[in-house]
Amino acid sequence: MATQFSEDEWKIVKARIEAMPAHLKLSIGGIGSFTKQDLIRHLNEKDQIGQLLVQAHLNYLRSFKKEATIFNV
Amino acid sequence: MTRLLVTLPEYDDTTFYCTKWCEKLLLPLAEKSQLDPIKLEKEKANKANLESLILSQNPKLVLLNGHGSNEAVFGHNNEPLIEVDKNEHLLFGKIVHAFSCSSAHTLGPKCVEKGTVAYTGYKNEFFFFVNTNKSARPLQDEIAKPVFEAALTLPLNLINGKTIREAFAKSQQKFDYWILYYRTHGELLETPQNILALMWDKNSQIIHGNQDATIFD
Repeated sequence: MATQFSEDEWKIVKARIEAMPAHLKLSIGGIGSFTKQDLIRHLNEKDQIGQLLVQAHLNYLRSFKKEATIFNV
Repeated sequence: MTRLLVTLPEYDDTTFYCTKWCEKLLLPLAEKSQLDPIKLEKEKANKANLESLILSQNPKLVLLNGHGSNEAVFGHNNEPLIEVDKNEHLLFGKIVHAFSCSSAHTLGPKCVEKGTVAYTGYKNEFFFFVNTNKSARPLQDEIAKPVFEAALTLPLNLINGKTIREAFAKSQQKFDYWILYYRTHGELLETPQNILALMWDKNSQIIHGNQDATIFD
């Protein structure tokens, strides 16, 4: 499936999800609830849920760059 | 008398959590404020009841909890309650808060076009993490608590009589509080996940319509 994200971006997010504690579950309202294994599967499949995960993670990671710019780091 | 109508579906994990946190954080204040909340609980959170009560009771504040899409908010068993180009006109003159995914993307602006005073909610999917060991007791789930506390600060302040603008600002500040909390508590297992969810939901929260309106206007 063609996506807007690079392979490295997919890999970064998958690595972060793999480090997620197993007792956590993500609820995405309107779509469903997902265990760590579910999330990894969706990332491997690069489907809609996988893409949403990557988008959210990149949003978070890019906030550090924005803050670094603000503080002139 | 200013009245509040709230939908409280409870048929899956997500709606169970949302309903329990709404009941804890919002309803006691609504009752104390003498808003005499009209509660559509569980299977009563259906379209027929909602439409009937909006027409007969004329609530000023409508809190729609449940799943959502860009063009609809859903009730029990995913029945659409309010949909674009179907019945959003029923929300004429009201203030609406949709604690649901995405509905503020398209439904919200459409409601305002059709005369809703203000519509607050989320333009994207709503994320929250839960502790699976506490999933039967949402109110004891300390991992889910920050997101719900931040998100429900908006309707809480509407109930308190704040303007749309003030309620939104308070909620955004609460999101910031928890984001900073986790930034300074990196040792917690849930820190990376909860910061992600808090930031996503904070950025997704949006308001449409008259930002100076209150439910007591």
